[in-house]
Amino acid sequence: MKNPRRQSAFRLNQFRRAAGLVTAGLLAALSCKSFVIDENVYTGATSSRPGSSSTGGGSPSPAAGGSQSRAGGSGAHTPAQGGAEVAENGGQSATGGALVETGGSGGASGGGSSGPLEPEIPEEPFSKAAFLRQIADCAVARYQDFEVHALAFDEAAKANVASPTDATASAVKNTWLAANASWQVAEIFRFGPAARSADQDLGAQELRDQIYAWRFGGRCPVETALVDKLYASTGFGSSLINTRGLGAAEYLLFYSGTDNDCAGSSAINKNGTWAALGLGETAARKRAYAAAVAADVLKNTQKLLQAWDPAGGNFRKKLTQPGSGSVYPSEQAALSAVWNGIFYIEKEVKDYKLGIPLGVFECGAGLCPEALESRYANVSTANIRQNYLGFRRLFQGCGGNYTGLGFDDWLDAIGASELRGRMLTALAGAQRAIDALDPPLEVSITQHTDRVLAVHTALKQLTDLLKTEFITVLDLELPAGAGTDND
Amino acid sequence: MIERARALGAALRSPVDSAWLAAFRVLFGLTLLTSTLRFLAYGWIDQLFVAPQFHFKYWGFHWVAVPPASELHALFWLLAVLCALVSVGLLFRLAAFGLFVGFTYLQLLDVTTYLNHYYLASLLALLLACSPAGRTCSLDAFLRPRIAQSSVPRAWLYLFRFQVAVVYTFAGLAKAHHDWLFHAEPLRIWLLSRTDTPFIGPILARDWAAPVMSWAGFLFDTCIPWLLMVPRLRPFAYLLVIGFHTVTGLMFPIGMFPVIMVLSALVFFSPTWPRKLWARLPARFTARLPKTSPRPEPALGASDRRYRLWFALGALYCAFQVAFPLRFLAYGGSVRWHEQGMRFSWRVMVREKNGSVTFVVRAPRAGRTFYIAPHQYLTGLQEREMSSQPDLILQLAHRIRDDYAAKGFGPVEVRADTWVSLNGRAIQRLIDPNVDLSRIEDGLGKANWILPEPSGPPPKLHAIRS
Repeated sequence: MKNPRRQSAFRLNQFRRAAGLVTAGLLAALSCKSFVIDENVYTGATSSRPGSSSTGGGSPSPAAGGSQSRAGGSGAHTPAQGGAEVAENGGQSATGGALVETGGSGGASGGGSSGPLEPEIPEEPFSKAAFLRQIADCAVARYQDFEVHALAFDEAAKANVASPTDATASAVKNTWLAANASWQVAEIFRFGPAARSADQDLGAQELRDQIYAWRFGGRCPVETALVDKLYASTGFGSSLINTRGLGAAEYLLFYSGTDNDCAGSSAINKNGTWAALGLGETAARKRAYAAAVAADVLKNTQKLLQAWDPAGGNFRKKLTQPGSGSVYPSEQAALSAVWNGIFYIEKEVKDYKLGIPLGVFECGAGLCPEALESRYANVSTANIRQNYLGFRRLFQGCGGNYTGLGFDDWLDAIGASELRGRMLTALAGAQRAIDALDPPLEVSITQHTDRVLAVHTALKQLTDLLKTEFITVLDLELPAGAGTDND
Repeated sequence: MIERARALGAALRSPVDSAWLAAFRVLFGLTLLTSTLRFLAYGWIDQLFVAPQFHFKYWGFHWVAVPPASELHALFWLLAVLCALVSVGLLFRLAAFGLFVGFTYLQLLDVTTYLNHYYLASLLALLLACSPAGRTCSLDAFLRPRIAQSSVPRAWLYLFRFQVAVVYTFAGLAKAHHDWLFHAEPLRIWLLSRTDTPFIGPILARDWAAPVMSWAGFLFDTCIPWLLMVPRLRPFAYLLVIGFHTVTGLMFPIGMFPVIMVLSALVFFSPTWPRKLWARLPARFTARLPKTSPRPEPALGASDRRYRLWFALGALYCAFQVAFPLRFLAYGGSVRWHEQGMRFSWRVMVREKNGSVTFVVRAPRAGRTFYIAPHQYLTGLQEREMSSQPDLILQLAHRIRDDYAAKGFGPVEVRADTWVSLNGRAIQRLIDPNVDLSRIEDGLGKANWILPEPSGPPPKLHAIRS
């Protein structure tokens, strides 16, 4: 009798290779074709995103759809009920401010692309062990998907250094946009090697921050590194995270201004080293710096995959086989670590990505648009959309159209179906609010604040349930070591 | 009446072997030493006291300041030394009082670190410090033989037994409510999440497991002090104590609590139990040690007036221990919901409660509204504790009020959008969202800004069924 897990891993590898080749080929072709990078102009178009219209197909809405693995198909996929739906292919087109495709099960659009890597999700009844296996496969698939994009980004960045033209510049931007969109889905998978030690996840290896150090960013450290040519030094890979990663690359690729954000008293301004660079040298250094960042991102992505690889750190085993030999003492503890990771949707998305720019959280002025996550590439809305889709992959199931096991199946399995229903309704509400975020955040934040506030409110309704009933009935705990004894 | 009082006084003054107290001192010192070392080893000092930028204070103790990290670490090392001194009985009185003061001070630093067994440890340290526990089997007695004694007034034995019985009895009574007895909650939630536990997991998954264990827990807590008082039942009752606390200790993250209770229950045995145990040890272990007194000697003399003072203090202590946990009756409603009267009442693990709080700050002068997430001020552990405890929510609301006033937004209104799930019930508001918490002062009176508890039963959950 064949081992289904080995079969699954084999299929995953096969799929990975095939999808990697296809995606790399498509990305190379797209790089030549060149997307129109709509950096600053909102076109007002709303119907070009698949599934964004009322007749759009796309994947099922959370309330109507849900996991396909449940017996009885209570959440059978009904495209007609999908309503306004975000496809995981990014669906940026005009509304996102920039054309980005990470592919998607809903099909390609806006220039075509392959879909995201989908793990082979077996049909199986809910058990914690099965759920953990699917989560592990899902996380690896998300990182593999990103690796494909990171590879394309690295190659495009190198090409842009070797023979810079408008086409190569455009290509590297497109590959960054694709990589970023893929990573924003993976952002939700902040557990295990991706987690920070501060998250108190016992499997933390801080690798997320090495790839995308958002909230530790800022222009000045990058501009200082640009002047100092830190990117060309051998120690660049171990320099401060706010000089590396996708965030630094976004500034280098998309910010065309000639000013800098450092104080007048900073070395690059006081000594005149920034001003002395000149336009040509600055542009050349930005290209070289972006290439160094791309290589560093790729290296850290491979490190992240290595940490999961059975032949490497084998975190997969630690997650799926808790107990002796694992960092997690039980399946419950492992699932608590996953839950802690997906809380990204509250803290990072609701409070930081929306609350601060909106001026309702940690913002002294009326609005703080400067706090938008991706204000140089104008993909802040797309990022939230991708985060939301990543959340659904964990909450509802990681397969295409969110099939497979998710936290919602766990709720069903213990008799908390009523809560599951309310959570899916809240999830659908969040989706509607995100879909209505049109024009994108960069514009809405000043012109349609009510729509941004609606997303914030909708996400709060979801996270209120997550932090209360959800963790209560599933008895999810803060990660081990996060506290003390308890009586 | 007077005769009865005299008889009682005489009974309380009558000497009993002090071996039980010496054994308790040694074990208690070692247990708290372990607890202190765990804090140092696990990095809990930094997590619990240093990392938070805001600390919740007990009512009336807002003046207690959190010292710098280096001093905190030094304090824990000092406590470890004091524990060791208590255990070996060196400079006992000073060490025991130091331990009581130091341990209590640590608990006053942040309400979110409150644990029933820490409170119990403080009380036991106080009782020990006041008792003559350092005069038997101690280095003090070895170095100053004139203070050595082998008996203590019986009152000390009763006082320790009373303290332990209070813990069990109130812990049992706290379980006498609908959720625990008729819905097996929150135990059902906890057991169902542990069905992957080796060996016992499949049992925990059974539908009957939670109700049976709920009733077993209730009966154990309420009956065990009485069973331990009956000499013929005592050995069996103590086996029950060991079994119960071993199981709960293995299943739940309750740290040193089981150890403290198992050793505390020893006070119910005959005062001479350590000597009897000692006598059973093989001669090769005991030959090199000084012989202990085979019979209790009369206690050191003390004047009647001094005894009367001690008895009065003891009676006051006992009255407080009975009355304080009952203060919840003055508030009405469910103490597990409004939490008024929850702490210092031995309500050990009686509810699973999680909340989500957003503070809505309105600055009328600036025309601004802010939605403040608690994580801006709190660590994850603090947020989780605060989110379901109204007085802590009020404290943070005041801190936010002060912060926004200091930022130049002028007088602000602070309201709390608070949703709480009790034992898995559908979420419900805990605090009236219309009440401006910036104007509410905490106190001992009934908090009318807390909304009534949910009325329906908790959901009926079951083990994972595919």
